Amino acid sequence: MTRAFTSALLLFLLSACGETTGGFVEIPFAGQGTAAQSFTKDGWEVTLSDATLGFGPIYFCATESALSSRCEVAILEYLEGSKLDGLDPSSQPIGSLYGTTGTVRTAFFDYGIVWLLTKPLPEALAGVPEGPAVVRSESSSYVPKGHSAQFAGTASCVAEPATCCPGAASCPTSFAFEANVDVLVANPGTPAVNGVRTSQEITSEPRTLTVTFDPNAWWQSIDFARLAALDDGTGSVLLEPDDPDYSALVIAMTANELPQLTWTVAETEP
Amino acid sequence: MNEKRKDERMNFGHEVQWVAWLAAFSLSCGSSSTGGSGSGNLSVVLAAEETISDGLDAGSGDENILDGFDVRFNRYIVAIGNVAMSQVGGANPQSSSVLAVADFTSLPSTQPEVTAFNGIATGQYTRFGFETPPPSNGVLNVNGVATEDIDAMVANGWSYIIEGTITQVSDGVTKSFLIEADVPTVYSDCALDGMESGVNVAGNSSVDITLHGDHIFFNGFPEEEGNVMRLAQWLWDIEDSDSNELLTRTDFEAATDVGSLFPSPPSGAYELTGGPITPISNAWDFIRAQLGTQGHIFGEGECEWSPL
Repeated sequence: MTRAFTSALLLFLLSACGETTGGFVEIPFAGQGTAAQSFTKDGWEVTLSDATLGFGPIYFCATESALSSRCEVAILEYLEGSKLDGLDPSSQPIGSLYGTTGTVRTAFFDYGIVWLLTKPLPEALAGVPEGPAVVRSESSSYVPKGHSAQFAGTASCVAEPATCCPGAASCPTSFAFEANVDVLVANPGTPAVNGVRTSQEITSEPRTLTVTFDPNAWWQSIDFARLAALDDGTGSVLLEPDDPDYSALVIAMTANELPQLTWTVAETEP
Repeated sequence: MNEKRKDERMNFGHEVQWVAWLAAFSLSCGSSSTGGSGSGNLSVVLAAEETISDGLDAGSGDENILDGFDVRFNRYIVAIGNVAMSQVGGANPQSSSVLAVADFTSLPSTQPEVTAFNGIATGQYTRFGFETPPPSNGVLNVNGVATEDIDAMVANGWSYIIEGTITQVSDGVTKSFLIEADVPTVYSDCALDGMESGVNVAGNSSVDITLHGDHIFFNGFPEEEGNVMRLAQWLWDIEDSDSNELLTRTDFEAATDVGSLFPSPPSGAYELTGGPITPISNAWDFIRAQLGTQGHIFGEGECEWSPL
């Protein structure tokens, strides 16, 4: 069924009982990263060099609830996957949100990996890092391909070794780290991030949306002493899915340090 | 991307939209969800899920704790009330400022009444909600809650006192925990799945506000409890940092390694998105967030929740 036909039929139905409604809207939206910002935590100076992010789909709902089941009708939606540079603070166009006028109160989205109700496994969408791909997370030989995020950076001990690596026999002066993070859901048909508050009246007035990510904040939840203990002398560490800090990153991305959603009235040409 | 694939995605597919739009059209063009004729009474009573009164057992069943722990509650005291409801479009609004304190481990089987609305318009009250604020002096004591407990709740602003034990079934070792928490929450738009939202008043009706006792063992803030997993390893792993042989707020706040306590897929099952309290920086935050979701009606009827 085409959007045009749907629109026309809805207009007819609502006008038939005295209601008024706006037409369909298309809202361009873009992603935006945050420049790498060195931070110090527990004696470690940390700098990210790469934060490639997968993003989408995203849905905007009128409900205030964080339960997507309370949002049977999305006011706006973007159904694709996209790749963003999380350390680039400039605007990175993603696409357009399509929908109708109304009041938006919450957003639900994925980091590029979705698990459809009709699919046996999650899938990384085309357009996200190393996507498209089926994510076989249940496999004992789990080799992820198609990611929500790919990170790289360095950590340098700028305090006494006892501060950087408490209780450890040795402590690297610095190490490089990498992580391929897949933000997965436990059940199909549910988004990875639920009920992000964002209040906006969607009208026919042109506007845009910017989604701003801060990977630096996500990494501030990491235990770098524990990460240093993974350094086998090579000076590099790969964060694996069963590492607690992998989960800490997912918690930061999905609950504790959510991206900011900023609505802006679009400038019209004179 | 083809239309079929779009329609399969999540719970917001276009087919669902279509049905919902038609349903909305139907409601806006003459719904039956308006007030009826005459007057009726509604009694608001309290009910405890069996997980509070009987505890939770280790096992592989739907309502068992899957990772090998039994949990029992000795006290499950909650301040609850401030019921409000209205019919379609806010018609016939009703509210009660009665606030009660009850120990849900020992509610009488007759289901004690918190408040009642008498002589109100009959029909469907499509919006129904209640609160769990901290109590004040003079709060209704439903079932003999100790005066010192109520005084402590009033003095400290607690809406919950939960005391219990967790036992690791593999070796029978038991730990005790005490949760004295401020979780002021508004529950709104309660609805029983498959039924019209809210409560119906016809003659002498009743609605039970049901508290669940297992949410602090949920693996997230799920859409439907049928999909949830109950896990207790996180509670077992909390260190008794003050060595008083009782896990308390001090210990829960000291447990800041949330990545270890609540592992995410694929290695674990926790999804901490969408809770009422963020950030979840320690186990205490997790407890408070889960306590802020466990108000229901008619047993399993879900409510929307938000911090008060």
